[in-house]
Amino acid sequence: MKTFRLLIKREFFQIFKFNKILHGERKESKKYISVLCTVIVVFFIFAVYWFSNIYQICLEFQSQQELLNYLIKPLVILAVFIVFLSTFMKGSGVLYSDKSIDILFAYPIKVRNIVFAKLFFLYLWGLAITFALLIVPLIRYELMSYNILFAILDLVQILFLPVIPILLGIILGYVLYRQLGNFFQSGSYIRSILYLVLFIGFMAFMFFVFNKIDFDFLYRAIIEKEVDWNNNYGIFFSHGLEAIILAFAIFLVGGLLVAYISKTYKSKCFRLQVFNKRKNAKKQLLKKSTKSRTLLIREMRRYFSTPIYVLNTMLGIILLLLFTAYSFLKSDSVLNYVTIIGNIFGITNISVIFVFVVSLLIVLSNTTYASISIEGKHRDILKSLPVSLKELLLAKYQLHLLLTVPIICITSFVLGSIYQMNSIELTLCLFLPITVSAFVGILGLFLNLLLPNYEWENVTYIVKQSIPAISTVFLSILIVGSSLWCLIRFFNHSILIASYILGVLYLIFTIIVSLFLKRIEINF
Amino acid sequence: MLEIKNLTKIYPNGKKAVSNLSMTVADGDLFGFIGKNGAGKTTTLKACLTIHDFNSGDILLNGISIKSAPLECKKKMAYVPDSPILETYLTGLQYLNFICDIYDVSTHTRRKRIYDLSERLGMKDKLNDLISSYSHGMKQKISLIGAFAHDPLLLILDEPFVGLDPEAFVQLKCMMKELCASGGSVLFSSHILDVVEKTCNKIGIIQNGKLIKNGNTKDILGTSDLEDVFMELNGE
Repeated sequence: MKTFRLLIKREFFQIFKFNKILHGERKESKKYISVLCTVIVVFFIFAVYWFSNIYQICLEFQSQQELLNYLIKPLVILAVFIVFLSTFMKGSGVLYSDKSIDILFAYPIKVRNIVFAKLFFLYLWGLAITFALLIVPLIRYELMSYNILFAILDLVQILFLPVIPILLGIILGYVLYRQLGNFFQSGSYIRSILYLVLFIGFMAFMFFVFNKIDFDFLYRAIIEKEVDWNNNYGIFFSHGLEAIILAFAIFLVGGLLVAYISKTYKSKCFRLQVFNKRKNAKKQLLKKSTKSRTLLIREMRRYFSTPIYVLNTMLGIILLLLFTAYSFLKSDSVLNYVTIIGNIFGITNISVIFVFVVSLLIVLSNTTYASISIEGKHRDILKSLPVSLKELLLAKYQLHLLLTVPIICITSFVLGSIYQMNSIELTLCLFLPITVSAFVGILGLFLNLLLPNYEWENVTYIVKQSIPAISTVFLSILIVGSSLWCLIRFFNHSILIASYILGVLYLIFTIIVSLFLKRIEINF
Repeated sequence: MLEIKNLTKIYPNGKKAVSNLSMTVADGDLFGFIGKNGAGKTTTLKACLTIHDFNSGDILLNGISIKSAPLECKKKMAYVPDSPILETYLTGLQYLNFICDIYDVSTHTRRKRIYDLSERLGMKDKLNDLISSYSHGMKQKISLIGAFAHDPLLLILDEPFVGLDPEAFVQLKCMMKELCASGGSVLFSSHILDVVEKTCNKIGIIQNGKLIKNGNTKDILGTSDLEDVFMELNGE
């Protein structure tokens, strides 16, 4: 029990990093506290919004049975699905990717205690999701029956609910996510491409198929199926023998799965550490390149080898490509919508609206906001090389432009030919999005150099959750969105020339911001 | 020739890591830099490459200040840190290619040197593998190959022998001596006093940021060995 408590404490410090507040450097500690406070505030606001909405929905149901069949049980299915998916994606990582697991194995600690300590936190996570979804409807349900014993029984069922999804998520996550991921780790960028393909597939589904789904019909079909199943085999929130059977079944299956995970834990940890050597590795040549080219190639290799970096920065490009594909397939439909928008805002030249769409979408693709922080511990080595910061920043900026400019060109030419833009409109369709992309790229570089974070342990943090990442995306959308809005609002009658002037302004702003980079180069 | 003149480095938390340190590493010198943990060895080495800024003093390479012409100086220097932090998404060969491009090494020269060095350090068959699959020792070897590949005038190594197998250990000592014999110089820190004593012609001992002993190995040792000298200087 003592060892288990020590391991829980270790996991707690590892996950929440409270030592940074208690014992870290003052600057680091302040930064961490402010991030933590922001997360707590945002979480609190979201929680209030969620609970108040779910409470309102609960009030719509007049009978207990209705509440159970039409809200609680669908939410149970949703909770099980979310818990399973989150542990499938992340749970196996929490369990198997502890960098200091070798040290733990060397201590006189039973492997099952290590496993239990890690599973405990995953269980708490699953329980938090389950409670977030079910606590309000469940309280309303129990208040309707006024039976304390049944309430306790239902609560126990809720406590058992995340167990099987978590364990299945971990086991399947290890097999499909970690082992296959390991297979693709042999440096070929297949993993990034695979993620990208999945992401494009998902976005294409959302773009082309999602709005055709009849959710009302789907909901009714699920409820009918669930009610039908419940009538024949229903055990959830039942208060008789079925409840005991359910508890026993979960206990038994859960116990077997935990035993399996404990038994195979050591071998699986080891297997993940040992990388398979690539068979018949492609023979590489030593070839001289210029310094700038080699720095750019380095940036590209790192970018495409980091799936999370690719996924988070490709959104704009993917949306733009999908929009172009949609316009190609349903040009009339898109033209109708754009004409309506043009009529609302009094824009006579509706081709400009396409230019604005391209400009807005490309803002969502920006590789520079994490490109300084991503150097991390490589910073010292880079500083020891005869490479100036200017050359390094240029390579990072070039990567950003290399990804966005060709896409802008392709989509502009396609949209231009579909909607028969004249040469001035087509030139604007190239000029404005390129200058916007150039501006947001330099903005990301500036903000990352202003607020770098080189002490990250997981690249996900700097790509998704760091202050430069969030502020760059937010500021880019705000600046570009509001400037386009100003054009629509105040210059709708001479929008073509005004858009060209805006493009020139973005070019000037880009140059101004790049001059400011020199002042903050000390941060590297 | 590397000249460190009155170098002082104070960290933001107020800790004086290096205090008024002056030393010279002449051409042909194999300089061993030793001291306890936290004495200021790594800070001094990093300051020579402008990895850390310093509060006062100057560092000159062949008379050129590292502050005023950092890129010029770095073109003639190479650095291997104590922990090899390499780009794990590259293969060994891609990494070495990258280093050679940075230092503008010709294709012919890099091919010859990389294959020679990788043969000597036992990495010839591993160059096409990803760095992420390398052990600590292999990463150290790749770092060393990258450092020697462009034939630097000054080689700065921070604990270079850590993680090396015996064969690579011996080879590294030979490579360091060959570099010094050809007119270059090597400045390295190490805790392996035996290697420092037998390999270096000059030694510097640092304690609490101050250089307490500096000079020819023979003069410093006298009739004792380095271990006794070091322990005596550190008051034990």
